[in-house]
Amino acid sequence: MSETNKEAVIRLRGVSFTYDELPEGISEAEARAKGAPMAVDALDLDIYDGECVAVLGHNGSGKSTFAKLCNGILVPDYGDILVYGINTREEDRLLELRQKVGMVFQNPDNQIVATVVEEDVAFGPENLGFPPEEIRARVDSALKAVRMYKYRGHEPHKLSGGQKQRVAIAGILAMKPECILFDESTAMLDPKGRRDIMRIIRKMHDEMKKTVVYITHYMEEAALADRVIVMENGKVISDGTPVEVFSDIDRIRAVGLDVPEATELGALLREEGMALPDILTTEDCIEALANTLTVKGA
Amino acid sequence: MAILKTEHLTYSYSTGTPFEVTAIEDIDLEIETGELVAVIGHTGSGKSTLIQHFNGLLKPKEGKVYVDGQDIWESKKTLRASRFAVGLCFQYPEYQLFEETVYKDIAFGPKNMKLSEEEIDRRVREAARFTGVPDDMLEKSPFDLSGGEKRRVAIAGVMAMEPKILILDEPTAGLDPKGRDTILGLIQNYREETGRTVMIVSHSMDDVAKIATKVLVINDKHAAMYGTVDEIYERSEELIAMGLDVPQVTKVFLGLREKGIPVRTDIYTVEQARAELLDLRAKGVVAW
Ligand SMILES: Nc1ncnc2c1ncn2[C@@H]1O[C@H](COP(=O)(O)OP(=O)(O)OP(=O)(O)O)[C@@H](O)[C@H]1O
Ligand SMILES: Nc1ncnc2c1ncn2[C@@H]1O[C@H](COP(=O)(O)OP(=O)(O)OP(=O)(O)O)[C@@H](O)[C@H]1O
Ligand SMILES: [Mg+2]
Ligand SMILES: [Mg+2]
Repeated sequence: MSETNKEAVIRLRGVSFTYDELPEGISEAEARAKGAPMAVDALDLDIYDGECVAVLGHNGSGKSTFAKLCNGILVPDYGDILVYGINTREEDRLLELRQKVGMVFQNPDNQIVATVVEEDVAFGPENLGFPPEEIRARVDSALKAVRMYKYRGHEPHKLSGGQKQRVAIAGILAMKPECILFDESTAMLDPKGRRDIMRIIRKMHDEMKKTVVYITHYMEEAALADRVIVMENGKVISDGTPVEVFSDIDRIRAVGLDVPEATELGALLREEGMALPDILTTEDCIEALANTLTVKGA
Repeated sequence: MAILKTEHLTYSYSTGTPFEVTAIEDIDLEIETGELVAVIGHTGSGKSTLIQHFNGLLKPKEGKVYVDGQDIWESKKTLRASRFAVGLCFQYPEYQLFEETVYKDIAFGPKNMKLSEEEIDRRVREAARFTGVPDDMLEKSPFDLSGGEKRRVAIAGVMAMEPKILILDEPTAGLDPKGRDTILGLIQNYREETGRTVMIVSHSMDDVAKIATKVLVINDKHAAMYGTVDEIYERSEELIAMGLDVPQVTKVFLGLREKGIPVRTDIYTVEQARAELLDLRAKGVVAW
């Protein structure tokens, strides 16, 4: 695989995290013996430079905890995380870390800080001490990327759910991080809004060469990634290309997930004797069927 | 009789300021008892604004809202009655979670209704079971839950009030696929068992197709369509033009049709899709 000669920008080694209060100095074995529930459990994982990764898993499987660990919001109880060479335990390098890795949360309300949209987006770059012209340019291009430029003078808390989420994403874009973690950033958007954001995510990856990790419950969105990771009880239970991960429909369903409808339809039709290639997206499916079906008398 | 009715309902935010926005305009609706209505529409189309009128959280700028034949703004008493008759679960569940424990949170509504302790306990446990909130979670703080877990608790809290009309704003956002199916299944059961009216706001036509008896399409402040799922699906192309989504299989079949394969396009489940292709083969229209 080409990944092997790429650099791991996020590297987890034996990472465990529990939300329970642990007594000072308690060993991992003791913590487990006491029954502390591990939200992230002995995780070894590498995210490589320039990857586009989707993270799946049922509610409570540890996805948000994993993302917060990568961004230094949470620090592992056991094990270590190196992010662009920075150990997330190094408190004095937290600002440096956040400039490298930005995170967009599940609920946009928690990240809106100002009373005017453009001030909200400017908040990050202002804190980094950029000159006003630079800030202006970053804010404008970020707002245009999420198609909220015409709302720049509005009050964020008066926007609809989907509009707020786009402002929150612009706030992170304006920081120009190397890697962006999206925690269900499309959950509140309508289909058009979701496609926009997926397009932005792909653009950041394909054109701006950023590393992108997004958590989603939409299988159609996961199908657009280069790599899919499935979490269950704080562990990774499946990791590969979308085709590899979605090929085992029963296994995916057993952990409360699903496969894209197009993939499922492909599998059903293969049982009916159609010879079809791998199918992940709507376009794949239309093309495969159009190539396979012959219309009589046409 | 219609359980819920609106006449010329219009609302705008920030009235009298340069930022005035008309969020909904001239909406006439009549919803019969026992329907399961799905409300769909693009971001900012006015869905959340509309439903907040049904229990009097927002006051119409123009027009009327009738619950069970009663104009809710007639008096303080009718307004209060509408708060109990119409249970509303918000788009962002965090807004309605504030108690120390999950149990207390779910019990909050029934407590306000001055029910007996046993009745409150019965309702809390039933709502928790319905929404898949396990017993050991009841003693946790609602702030210590994952995103999807919070949503289940918020839904349980509204269900426990056993309102005449249960309204859920985006109940499946943030739920995993199995959780989505579970919640949709229980909403459907809830409606079938109780005969009560339910309304869900959703961005997902897939969800809607599975359980709704009626679909209300809001487009740019107005009620654009109201009808059965089949009636609405016949107009898939219009939905797509409004920026709405149809299930992936529907898109596949619209695409095949465009490529000259004579398939039906009112297909919205994978099973229907397979059956349609087998049927066409049996009729000798296509081969593979
Ligand atoms: N602040 C907290 N305090 C205590 N426990 C928590 C807290 N946040 C999450 N948990 C627990 O940790 C586990 C993992 O939660 P996490 O938020 O990482 O899940 P998730 O995969 O992001 O779920 P979702 O899809 O619902 O967002 C869950 O069992 C959850 O209840
Ligand atoms: N509190 C508010 N103050 C001012 N304008 C608002 C407020 N809430 C919503 N709006 C505006 O009213 C319009 C309708 O918003 P609403 O929240 O009803 O849409 P929605 O259909 O629920 O959208 P979404 O799918 O994103 O939740 C939008 O243009 C929005 O910007
Ligand atoms: Mg989460
Ligand atoms: Mg809304």
